[in-house]
Amino acid sequence: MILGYLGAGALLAGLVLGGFSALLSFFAGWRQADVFIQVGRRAFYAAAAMTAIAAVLLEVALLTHDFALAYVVEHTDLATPMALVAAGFYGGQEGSLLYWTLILGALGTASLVTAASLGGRVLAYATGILASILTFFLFVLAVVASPFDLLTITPPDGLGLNPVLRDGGMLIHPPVVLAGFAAFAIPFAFACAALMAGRTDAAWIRHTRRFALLAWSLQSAGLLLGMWWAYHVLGWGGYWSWDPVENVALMPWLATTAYLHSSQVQEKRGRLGNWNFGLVILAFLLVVLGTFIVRSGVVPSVHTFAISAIGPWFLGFLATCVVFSGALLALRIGVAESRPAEAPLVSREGAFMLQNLLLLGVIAVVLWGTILPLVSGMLGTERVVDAPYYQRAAGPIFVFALALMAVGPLLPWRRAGNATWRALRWPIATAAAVAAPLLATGWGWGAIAIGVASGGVATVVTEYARAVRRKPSVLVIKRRRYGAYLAHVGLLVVAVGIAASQFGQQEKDVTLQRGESVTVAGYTLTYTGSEQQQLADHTEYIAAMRFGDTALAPSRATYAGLGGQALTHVAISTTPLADVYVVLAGTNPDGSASLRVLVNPLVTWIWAGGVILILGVVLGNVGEREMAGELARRRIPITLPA
Amino acid sequence: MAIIVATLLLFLAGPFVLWPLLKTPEESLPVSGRTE
Repeated sequence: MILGYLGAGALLAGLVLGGFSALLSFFAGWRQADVFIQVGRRAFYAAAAMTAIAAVLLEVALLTHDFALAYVVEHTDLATPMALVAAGFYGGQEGSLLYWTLILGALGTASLVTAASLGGRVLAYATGILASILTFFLFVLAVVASPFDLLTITPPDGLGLNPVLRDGGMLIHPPVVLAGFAAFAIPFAFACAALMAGRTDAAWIRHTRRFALLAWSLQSAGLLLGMWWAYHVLGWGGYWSWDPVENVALMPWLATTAYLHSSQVQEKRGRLGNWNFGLVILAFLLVVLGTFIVRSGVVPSVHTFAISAIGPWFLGFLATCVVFSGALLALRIGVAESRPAEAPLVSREGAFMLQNLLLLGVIAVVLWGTILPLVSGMLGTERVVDAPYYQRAAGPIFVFALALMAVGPLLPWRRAGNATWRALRWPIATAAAVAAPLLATGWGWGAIAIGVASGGVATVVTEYARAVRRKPSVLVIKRRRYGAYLAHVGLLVVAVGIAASQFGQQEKDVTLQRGESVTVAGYTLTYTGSEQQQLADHTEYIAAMRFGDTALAPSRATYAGLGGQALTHVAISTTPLADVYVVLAGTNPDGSASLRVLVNPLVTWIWAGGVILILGVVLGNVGEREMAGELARRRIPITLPA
Repeated sequence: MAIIVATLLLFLAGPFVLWPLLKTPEESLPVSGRTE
């Protein structure tokens, strides 16, 4: 019980310090009062420390099974393994908000500690904005949805974690996604601060580049981990269902992807200043919109465990952010554009611009599909769009974006010449050679996507080969560039995996008697019998299958204590070319089993591509700043060649 | 009870937060280079 009081006290203290930091920092920035700027910044650090104290107290309460706290009762029980008890920290609404606030405080502190070179006013305003966001979260945590609420009677045991969340994926997917969301606040805060202070050069981009990359990497990993989890746990044979909660995680990722490219134009060419401000602000607003949608339950979603009454607060926060950043952009627009010189359409800059427009197009498609139930519901009949809408509308745009990945890296920053056109022959030939036979199989857009992605890989190979032939050390010196190319390869491998599994998936629903076999896409499975196991809180029905020399055991668990809630445990056998994916729909009294068997080509490429993508970001940026400093001292130019 | 805990924590954090204001002029002498 004492932990509840201590935790609530820490949140209250954090709220006071956060509010004080926000007000003082804006005032100090306006008056350019250095001492108050320092005090405001220290108050932010203290608020972040209070959040950390509250987080530690909640974790201690969970691990010690302090059932005086309603949150501990609702999300854990004595039978839950300790790793999942610890993960209960972010398994519920209140705890996940505290986790988000913790990451915001930690990253905000890191960004402010390292921001001295930006000057007092930018620093003060960035502190003020970060503290305002932190204060909002602490207010919700302290007043509206506290994880430290106490029960009047302490029960002997808790209710346990939702069965869907009792999985290894719970240990890594939610914290990565939430950290990715929280990290978007850093570029947003510094972009708005630069606008407020009138410092519209690229200094804020250089300072927040690592945070934007961190946010993007966490979000990429979070999306892929979510897909992996859905594929292995939910048991419908796919990994992406265009669920609103998936969509709202995808949209900020798309905006940040666009920003990471367009920010290079500002760094290299001094252009697109306003555009970059807009993209960073858009990414953060999409995060807040997503949070509102996930937390309020205003649109139907599979993530219903997250619904609560804090929706209106987030709607108010979203409205405030929209008005604040919109007004800031409107007042400062035009100031940032320092070099309005026109760039040729066929150039690296033109490719980045086109890529940005394509990604914004995808965001528009996904946003419309996501909010349509909300908008149509307000106008009369609620309408919902499903996967074919997204595939038809966003699929071709994605294919064009893939094509740009094949062409863009070969284009010079200035006008393209004959050498550029010659360099394009390899990706074009590769794309045609791969797509042609696939088109004959009737895969349509899937064949084109795989062909174009292969062209993109050919482009990267061409670039690496050119570097190795001329001077291999350039791969290390310009690691940011070559790391980005490796990330391109990762994304292209992911794209091939998605296209192949979308267009090549085959499935069959069967009921098999013991000893009977089923063949799907050339893969034969035999049903050898079933058994029933009575476990502590659920009954497990297990079907035994044989696939070559491999034994598969798809099962179905029924939780009587949770109103008969059923959960399938999928059996997956991975071969180099495809996953054989077996779902147990049910066992019958005559000993037969009803099964859904799917063959999903190249799904493992999606997970492998994700690893390559993250590897590219890490290799491209480890020690990159030190290298840049060293090159500056030795007066070696690090700009990309024209 | 939570308010009492919060107040205590604020008292603990106070010196750290307000340190730039609490510093005596003598302490800032070597940095600022002022002579009085």
